[in-house]
Amino acid sequence: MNTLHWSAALLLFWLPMAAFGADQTEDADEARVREIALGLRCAVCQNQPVYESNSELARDMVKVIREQVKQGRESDAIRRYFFDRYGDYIYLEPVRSGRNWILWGAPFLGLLAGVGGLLLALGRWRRGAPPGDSLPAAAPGEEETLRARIRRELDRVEL
Amino acid sequence: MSAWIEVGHFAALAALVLTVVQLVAPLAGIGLGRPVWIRVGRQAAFGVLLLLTVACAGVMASFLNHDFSVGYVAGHASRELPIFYLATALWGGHEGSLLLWVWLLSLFAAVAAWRHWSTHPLSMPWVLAILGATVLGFLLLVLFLSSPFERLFPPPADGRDLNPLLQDPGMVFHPPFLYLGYVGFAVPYAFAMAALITGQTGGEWILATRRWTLFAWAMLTIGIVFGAYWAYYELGWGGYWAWDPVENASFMPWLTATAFFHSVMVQERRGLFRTWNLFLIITTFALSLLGTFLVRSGVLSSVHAFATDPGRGVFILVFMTVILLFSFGLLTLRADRLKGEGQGRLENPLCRESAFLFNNLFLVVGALTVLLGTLFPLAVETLTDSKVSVGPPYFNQVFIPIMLGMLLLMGVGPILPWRRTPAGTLRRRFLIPGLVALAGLGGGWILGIGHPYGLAALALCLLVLSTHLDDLWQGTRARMRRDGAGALSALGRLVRRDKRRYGGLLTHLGLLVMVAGFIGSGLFQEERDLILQPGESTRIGEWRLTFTAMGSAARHNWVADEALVRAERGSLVLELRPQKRVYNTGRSQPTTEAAIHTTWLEDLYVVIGDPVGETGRAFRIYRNPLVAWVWWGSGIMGLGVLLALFQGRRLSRTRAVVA
Amino acid sequence: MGWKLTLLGVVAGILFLFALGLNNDPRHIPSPLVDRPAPDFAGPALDGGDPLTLSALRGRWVLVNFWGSWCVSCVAEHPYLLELDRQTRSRNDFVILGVDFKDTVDGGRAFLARHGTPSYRHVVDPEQKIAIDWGVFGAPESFLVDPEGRIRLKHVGPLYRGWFERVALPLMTSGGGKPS
Repeated sequence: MNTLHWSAALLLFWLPMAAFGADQTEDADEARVREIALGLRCAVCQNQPVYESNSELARDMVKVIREQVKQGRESDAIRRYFFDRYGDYIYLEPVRSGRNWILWGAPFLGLLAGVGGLLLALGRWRRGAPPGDSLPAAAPGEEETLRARIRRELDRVEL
Repeated sequence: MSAWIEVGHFAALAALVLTVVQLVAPLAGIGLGRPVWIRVGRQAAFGVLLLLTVACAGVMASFLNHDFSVGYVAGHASRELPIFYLATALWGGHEGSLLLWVWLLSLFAAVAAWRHWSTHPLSMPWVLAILGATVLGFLLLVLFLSSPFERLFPPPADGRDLNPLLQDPGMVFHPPFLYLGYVGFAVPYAFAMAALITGQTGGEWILATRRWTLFAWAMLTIGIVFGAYWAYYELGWGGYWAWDPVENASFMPWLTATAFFHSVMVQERRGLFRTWNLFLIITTFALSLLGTFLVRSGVLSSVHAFATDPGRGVFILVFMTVILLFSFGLLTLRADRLKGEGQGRLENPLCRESAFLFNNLFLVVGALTVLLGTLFPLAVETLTDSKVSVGPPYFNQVFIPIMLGMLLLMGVGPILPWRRTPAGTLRRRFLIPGLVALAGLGGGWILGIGHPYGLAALALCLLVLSTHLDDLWQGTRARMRRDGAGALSALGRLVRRDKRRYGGLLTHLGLLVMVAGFIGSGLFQEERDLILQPGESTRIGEWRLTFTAMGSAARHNWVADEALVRAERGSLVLELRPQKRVYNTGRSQPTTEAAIHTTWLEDLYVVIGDPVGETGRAFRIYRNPLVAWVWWGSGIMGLGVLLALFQGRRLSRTRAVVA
Repeated sequence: MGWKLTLLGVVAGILFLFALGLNNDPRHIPSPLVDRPAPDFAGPALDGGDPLTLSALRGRWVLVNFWGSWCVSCVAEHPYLLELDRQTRSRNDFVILGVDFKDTVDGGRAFLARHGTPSYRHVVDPEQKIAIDWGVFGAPESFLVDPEGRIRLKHVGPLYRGWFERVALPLMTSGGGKPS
């Protein structure tokens, strides 16, 4: 995913140049360290991932992550290690369980309920019942002139 | 020399008294049936503006004079601070930025009192009183709980300087624009409340507030993007949006305001959704206040949080409670009077009106999602004995799909006709855009967009783009046929005739450009963390970067370690100079100055870390594709709004000529 | 009618939440380690003597106190620790163990020389590995570990006069070694 398909053409153009001296590359494990450290909250900062923080604790946490990655531990096990010690607070992505289902579910439920409600309402309106059928409308003529006025003023209203 | 601050302080106190007049006189005028009192309220609004201008000038002059006997100046400036930042340090801290807030509010109150005086006589007393009450609340906060006028004795010889992170042009412009946005919603809010109180909910308040809303929305957009830009340039983590509570606080009113001026079009045309529109504008202003509360009360921890103080928190909470309960209470009490919308009936579910309905649903659910994610940690901490964090991964996974639905509506809505859509029209207008979107899906897959959201976003962007271009083309062709004009002049005439509509479409296109930027920088960002010795090089994308040497740099108020990095791509050779800066006065933390090379396709972004060993240096290098599109897109959106704002004026002139 | 109540309810709920939230202490973060087995550690001693191991103290209640010479509140806490040390030195069911973290040996020794050296010993944890293993955010933080090696409570911030009698002793006498 992180490859650069965009400018494949440019890349091809440039490839022959790539033959010069050996380059320093990122340590093979570093991408995994970064991925883990980006998902953990720096415990003493305000809303920063461990990876982006300059605080001592965050830096030492990155060291611990790096060490565990080097030992070949699974990413999930490393995350779990911090979770067991610092609790829910340490995950920037809240776990999907218990009360957090409110957090994960509510937006989609709300959306579903909203779409359903709107479709129902639209169907009802289409069948002819005006919305707000309990009260009689303002006298039609009055309403019409008012709206005509609004339309007129819309066209020329200034700040 | 230090007389300035006392003049300012006195002016602010006098303004407080005059605000009470602005609040009470118009109400008395209504109660006693004496219009002259309403006029007094209007004059008071002008007076408040004048006095608060003097108050701001007093603080600013104290900054320019290095008057460190003023606590606020001593805390946010130093003798070495460049004059540009000295003048703008007024809003570099909590106290001063609140003063700026209240000054802008008084400015808008005065402008509203001036421009709407003769056009909206019924609403005016209430508008004056409501804006007066809002100014009063904030002024009390400024004067008694976070005063920028407080004096120190004995005065220190030098100040503690402005936070180095704020010594950046981005931070100079970000707060004023953001506040223009927040405060700009106060006027539509006041008109909406006046409409509720007087019962004139038909259309007057909408006419009065359309431009205010557009203006405030544009300012908020620019303010938010300035903030993102500042974060990108100054914080050195390669990104621009972190879903921080304070960022969310500015984003929520943006979402509801967007919903508002879409649904308000339905009210103008069809007389529908009155209660809903009032609800939206009140909510928008309420969310602006909420943002202030979140930032200033310390109830949520955030990178942006100002120094916290329980007294302030309590005051803002009480103030907010009064406003919210008053507004929403009145809305629910008066809601039944708003009925009688029988005129506007939807004949067919497939029409512009219903597209706006769904647009509103998605925007409001989006805003509620952001609200939920922002307040959930607070709720858990308060109601249970545990803590959670809700970070970017949550918002990216939940908010983005909702906005994808929004994008779909954006592609469909603008070309659906009002009232009903005949089946033929539907097929004709959506066949090609639909095919283009499908092609985008396939093309994206081939380009290597593996992420489903990315693919969907790309396809939907193409859908929106093609329906919008098709719409423009249809309109232009019709004009060409009618007037026999060339394509360009026909397009020009088309746009000029309905600036509001085409301004809106341009805004949509600007958003598309931004979304492209989000896809590029969000899904294709590359990063490298590594240690380089002088002379060593590395690659990222098509770039080859060589760490040549360490150097140093200095200005009169900072010194920096500076890495010299040669960046080559093909025959292009650049020199980048990322720095670690240490400012002379006070604050110890060194700041990270990223070296950024921007092209239209990608940004190369280099940050240095700590020294490693004798000569080595830690580097963090990013390649951020399309990130500049985010800034350009917001510019296009601004132009679109500008176009829409010009609507009334030009039309009235042509009408006058015709008449 | 329904939407009105919902709307007002939501608004009132948010305001109520804020009102309660104003009292939240941002520094208070509950530890998931409470009632779990304490992570064992072993490390060099600050006094230069034999290395120290937590599990070697099994069978007694252990107060694990995280501190550092860089920590301002630790200075405030220190007199109480000295007093507690004097007071409990004779007990054979209770022992204190210091963890001097993110610190240099010289820094830690200088701190003790200046503010008073207690009879209990300290582990040195220069890269705060033990601290991270224990989910420590800052200093001072203290844990009470029971004879079976379970963490029974965590205290963030300086311990205060009377803490032992009011908080630790009741746990030690009532709960015995078993978590309730």
